[in-house]
Amino acid sequence: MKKSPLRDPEGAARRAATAKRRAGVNSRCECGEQRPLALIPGSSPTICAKCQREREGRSIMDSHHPFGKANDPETTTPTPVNDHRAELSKAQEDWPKRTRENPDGSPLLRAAACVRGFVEWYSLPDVAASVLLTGRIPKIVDAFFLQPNGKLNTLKPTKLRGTIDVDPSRQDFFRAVIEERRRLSKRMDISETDRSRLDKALKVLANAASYGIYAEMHRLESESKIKVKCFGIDADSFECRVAHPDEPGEYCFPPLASLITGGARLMLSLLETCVTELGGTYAMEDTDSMAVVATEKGGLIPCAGGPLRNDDGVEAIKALSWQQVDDIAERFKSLNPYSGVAGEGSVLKIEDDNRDPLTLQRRQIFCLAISAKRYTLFLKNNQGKPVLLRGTCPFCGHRNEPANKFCKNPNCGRRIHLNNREDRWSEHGLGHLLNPTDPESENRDWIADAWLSIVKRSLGFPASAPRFASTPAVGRITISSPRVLQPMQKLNEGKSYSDQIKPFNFLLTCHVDRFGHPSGVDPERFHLISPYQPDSRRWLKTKWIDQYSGKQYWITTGGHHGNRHTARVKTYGEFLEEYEYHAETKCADAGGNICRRQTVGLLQRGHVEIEQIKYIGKESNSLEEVETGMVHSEQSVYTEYPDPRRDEWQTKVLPALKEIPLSDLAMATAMSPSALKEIRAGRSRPHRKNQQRLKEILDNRRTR
Amino acid sequence: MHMPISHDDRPPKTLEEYSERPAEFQDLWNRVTQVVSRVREGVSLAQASREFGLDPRVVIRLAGSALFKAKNGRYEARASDRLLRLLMTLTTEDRVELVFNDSQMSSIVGRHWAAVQRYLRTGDSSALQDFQGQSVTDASGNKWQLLTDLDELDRLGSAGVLSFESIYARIA
Repeated sequence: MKKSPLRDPEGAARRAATAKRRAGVNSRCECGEQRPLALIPGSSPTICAKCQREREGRSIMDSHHPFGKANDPETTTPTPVNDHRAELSKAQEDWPKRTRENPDGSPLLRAAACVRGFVEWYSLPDVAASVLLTGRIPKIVDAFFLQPNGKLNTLKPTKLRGTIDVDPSRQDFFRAVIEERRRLSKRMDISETDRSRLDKALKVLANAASYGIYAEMHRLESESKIKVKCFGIDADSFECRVAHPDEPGEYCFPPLASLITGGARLMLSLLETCVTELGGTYAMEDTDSMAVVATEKGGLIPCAGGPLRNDDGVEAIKALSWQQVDDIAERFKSLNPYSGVAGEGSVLKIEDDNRDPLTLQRRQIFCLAISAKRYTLFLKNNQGKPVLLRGTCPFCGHRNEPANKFCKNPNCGRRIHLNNREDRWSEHGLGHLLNPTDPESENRDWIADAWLSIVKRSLGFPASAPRFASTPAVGRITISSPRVLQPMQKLNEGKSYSDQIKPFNFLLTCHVDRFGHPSGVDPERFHLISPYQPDSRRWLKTKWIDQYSGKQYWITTGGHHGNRHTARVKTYGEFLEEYEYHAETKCADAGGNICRRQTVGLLQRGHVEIEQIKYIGKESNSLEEVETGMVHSEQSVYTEYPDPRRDEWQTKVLPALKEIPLSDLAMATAMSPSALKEIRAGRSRPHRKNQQRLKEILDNRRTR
Repeated sequence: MHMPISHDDRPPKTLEEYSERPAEFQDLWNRVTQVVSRVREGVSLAQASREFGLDPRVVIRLAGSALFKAKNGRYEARASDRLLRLLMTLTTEDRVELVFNDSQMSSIVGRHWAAVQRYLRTGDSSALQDFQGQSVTDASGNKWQLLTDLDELDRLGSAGVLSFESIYARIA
């Protein structure tokens, strides 16, 4: 681990010289300790603090205050005394005096100390995961742990959702929540509906209270810029002006939150290590799960980019046997911290999908994974054709027991054939679109149809385009802010209140295709909305309103681009085609190249090099809007805290621009030579888009 | 259907005539020319008109010169036409709006667009290879080379496109 650069190197040298002089030149303890600050000044023979305490029969551990005693007298970490004196306290000496001493108890300085206390620290689970996955041992410069100190005397017994007793002063609250959740399946004293509600409530409670609140940040929505002080990885803080600064939540304590996610990553790394040790691999993994490639007997299966070759010389990977997977799950049994029902078996659960829900016989399931969160599980029928794993009625979406021959929904009652307890296809990236067969229907089975077509094509079976392929892909949003309602005001003119479009009404939103924007509009500030209209035949025949400018445009699904008055919008068919070829940009292909849309086969981790450090806010309030296609600019989604010392334009782009002949630049950018001269001299800074263009020109020259 | 047309509406022959017409007519005309192109691809006039939200009679009235009635009574498109088309075109110089009065040229532009969109949606660039070094000539006789550079297409095509992944990850 790399240490941060010193804030005050001269001061540090002065302090080191003083310590050396006080301890005596070339002094060392008989134990070998020779760090001047660890040695007792004036001792003869020279002795270190640890040996002195041992002689005196005292503890050799100190309580280190990672945020400084003045900032947080209660948070301490046990640390060997020599390390405490020679490393940790020395490091805090480099902090600004006001931050270290915080004489007025300023919360801002306390926050600064918290950040300084954790700069460039990695959680131990992450370090362990790194060792497991890379085989390389990192050099540990410093280490500390967080230790709970005492118990709050305000803890009171409570009833979760009025039914489950928990006494946090006696019980581990989270353990109780998890164990209660697992016990729910065996409770017969509550209805299935209540059981389902309680299950969800306990799940959210466990996730939010054990992790979420410690990482809670609020992105302020104020549009006016305010000055903020930022503490980053450099020794010195910096100031900048931002429109949407983050404010920590009431219980926010990122170091603790990082340990929880670090622990989850370690669990996955343990699993990955178990699988790869046996020569196996996996089809995909998520936060807490992994789809291990396995067959009943194991063996080679063809896979592009696989490191092995089957009998036909085709690239292949090794599938583990079901028994090997069971054995891996068994190894995780000792990590189960729970008792009662939750304590039975391993924390690594083999999913029920692997068994026929009626006979409970193990069965072969298949996976098609496109990219993160976009996957489906399926079976193959006698002809080898895919059948999705399904637990809901295809006609109404009602969840049924697998044994049901007819849908139990009283409004449906149609004949069904289910093969699973759960639907196993992802809706990620499609969930915001209306049902194209019936926009008013909540039935999402059109997504299952889309997935089945994708799987069929991947297996070489013919799959016809859905009948809604040429319908504009349209989503529904609620008028939840004045910003959304404002463009509709013109439509409200002259109408009675009851006929007006009002807050919390629905609107339609469509997705402009690439190059589909009308001529002259800024694609990052253009979004079409329309009053809610459930009849899809009307969508192409009405004018839509640009949310930003209030101007009205026609939409079309014909042609390949927009024109002056018409936007070319995406159809459901085009949306699904893009979905099918979505690139997994976090991974690399077998050759180590970043995945592109056509990449298939065995992937590996994509290696990254840090080129530029930018500070951004943790929280984005607009992820749902990104999903629904309402937001088109990164700047609208997260807050960037520009650090002038690390400004890419000043530190990288401008020096490189000066190396390029002015005539070449003028030709490549179509900017005037005089404007370019001003830019290169640092007297003016181009518009953000021109900056981007200039950066791209530099990148192109570099790669040439 | 889309909008009624008056008896005064005639097909524009030049860019000036096109520009003088109201926005509604310009949009209508763009749709009409696209219907003709679809009919040339083999789609029936009724179906193509429906795709672009038009009444087939409007198409016949405005673009009758590009259509003929086959023996089976169906309308078909002539092998080529001279209808004025204003097409956004991706050239090596920029994304420009060009005027064509030759359906064969506009057909090349249309196929180039199809290849571009195929690449941007699926990553399959095979169809774009046919356009490497190919030029089109606009109504003024100017030659324009079509864009086939994949990085440049990615750059131009990503304008206004934002996804979860693009917030946190960018391809180098």
